[in-house]
Amino acid sequence: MTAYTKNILFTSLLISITTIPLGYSADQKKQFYFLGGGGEPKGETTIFDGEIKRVGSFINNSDWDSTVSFNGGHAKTEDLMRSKMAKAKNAGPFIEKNYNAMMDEMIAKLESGELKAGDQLMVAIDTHGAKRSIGKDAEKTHRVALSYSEAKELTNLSGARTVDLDKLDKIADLAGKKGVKLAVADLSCYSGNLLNIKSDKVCLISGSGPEQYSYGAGTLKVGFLSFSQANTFSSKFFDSLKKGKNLEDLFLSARSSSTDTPDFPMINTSAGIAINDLIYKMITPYLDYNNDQVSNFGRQYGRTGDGFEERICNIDSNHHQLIDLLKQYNSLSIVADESGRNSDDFKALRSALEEYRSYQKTYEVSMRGKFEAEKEVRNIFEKQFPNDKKAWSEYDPLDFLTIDLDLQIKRYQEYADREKNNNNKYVAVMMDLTLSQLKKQKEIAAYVKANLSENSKAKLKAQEDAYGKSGVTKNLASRVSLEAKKVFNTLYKSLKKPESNPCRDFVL
Amino acid sequence: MINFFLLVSLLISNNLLAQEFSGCGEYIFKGVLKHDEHAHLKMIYVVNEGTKSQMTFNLIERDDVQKLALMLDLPSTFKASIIKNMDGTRGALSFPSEIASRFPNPLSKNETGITKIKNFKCE
Repeated sequence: MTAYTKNILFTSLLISITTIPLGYSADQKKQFYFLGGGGEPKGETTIFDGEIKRVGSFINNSDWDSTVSFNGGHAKTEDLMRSKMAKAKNAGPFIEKNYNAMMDEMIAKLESGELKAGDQLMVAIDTHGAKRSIGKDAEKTHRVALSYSEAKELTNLSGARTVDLDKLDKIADLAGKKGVKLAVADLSCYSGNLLNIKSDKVCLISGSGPEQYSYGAGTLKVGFLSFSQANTFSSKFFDSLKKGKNLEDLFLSARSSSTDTPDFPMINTSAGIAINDLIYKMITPYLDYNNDQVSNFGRQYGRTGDGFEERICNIDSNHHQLIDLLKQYNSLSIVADESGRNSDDFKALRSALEEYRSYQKTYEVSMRGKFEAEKEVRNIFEKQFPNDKKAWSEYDPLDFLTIDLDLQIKRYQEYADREKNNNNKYVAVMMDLTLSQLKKQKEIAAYVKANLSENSKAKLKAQEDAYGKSGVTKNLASRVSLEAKKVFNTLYKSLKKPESNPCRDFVL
Repeated sequence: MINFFLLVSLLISNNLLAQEFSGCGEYIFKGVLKHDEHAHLKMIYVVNEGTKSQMTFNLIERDDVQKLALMLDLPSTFKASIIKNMDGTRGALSFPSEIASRFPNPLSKNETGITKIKNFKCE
């Protein structure tokens, strides 16, 4: 009865998959390509060094024919590659030319039949990844950072040379048609975009969702010794690359045992895709956080007070709907699991989400206060300076409290004098007009500073303090991620089909 | 169960950013106003400064320089129009509005770019 009920309840969630029966032969080829290590600042080491050791261990202890194009320009990282990956063919630094050469090599092997049905091809990418663009020229997948260039920020990888991963689409298509077993693991940030390659004939694994960072292993230093901590998904994944393991089990094991990181690793099995559709988008807002490198926690609130209360209503409404949805999944799950362990997982996720929402609510109080203070400033503008609208109407009112107008006036005075000396009347007139406006803005700013109520000043200070302490959101988001991983596992077990799939069929 | 799927699809919201020029239109700019001796009005707006994806925008109207003057050398953001096709990484912006300094996170200062919010035909 239980099994029957479980079957009925979860059938509607299942997506049918096609499996290709493939035979094995004694001369089955196993080829592994490892690429990445780009976008890092100058220095001797990179954050990818721990992964080199892990992947090196797999290369050295397996019978896979391996090719590596990794890093470039970091002496100790390169030494590490030479010592830990000696068995692999070195395809040179991770630059565009070498990347394209390797992709073309894989395509040629597939087209020529050098790799044939039943052979295995695995590609692992471990570098900085960018958020996917939109628009007609957007990548299908996303862009990743190449070597000899530094990503100055980690969302769009500004500063780094990048390359898109779209050639993998062709490789996936060819592998599917030729019956070659292909697995691609993209462990970079925003790597969930890899799953935009739609194929039920290849195995695709990502280190995070399309809108989240992915995390490399940190390094723990004890005296002269340093240890790479294996608590992230990518380090767990690479640690688990062992002969005889299949990629579905390996993914699930790495995913469920990774901690402390607000990520959402993905797999393109039917069960994995169904769960992504069910919970990923709804969990995503709870993976936002602030710290010294990231500030996306407040992005749901908007920049100005316009529509703030409406946005809060939406956040609340979405939150309640998610909690209700999880309660319903929980009920279904209890029917399917007599042990009751699943129920605890759902409860724990709900609790983590409530904790996150509770913090958001306290933060929202400070945001509301800030917007009220902003409104008071705007009222002062309108009441005291109705004829100077040009000087204040297009600006964020709070900028008048912070920008150093004396400095700006000094600079424009210099520009104005210079243009007059150069007899450039057209620009000199403009600089004079600009100076007049800046002086008016200084007058307005002084008035606002002197006349803003103490209540509003306190509210602005409170918001500043709340922002300063918002680093706590990293832990809250990590807890949501951790509990969501357990629920993912529960759902995965329920949705997992008995038939094989390209990830389960991909045995190392 | 179908309701669940409907619910999920209703709750989905995407906030992806396009950080490139994709035809004329209204954009959100995130960059820095700079003094430039060689520019027509001596002021330019730079996004992704010092990177391979740097874009430079001339200011055409004197009124626009006045509007943006407050933000000289400060990380800033505003809405403005690009009314003519860009020449590679160089273009011009017009009609800036909703001008503000950017969120004071050390790294987000580097989060620059342009994001299209409205399409219109180039002149």
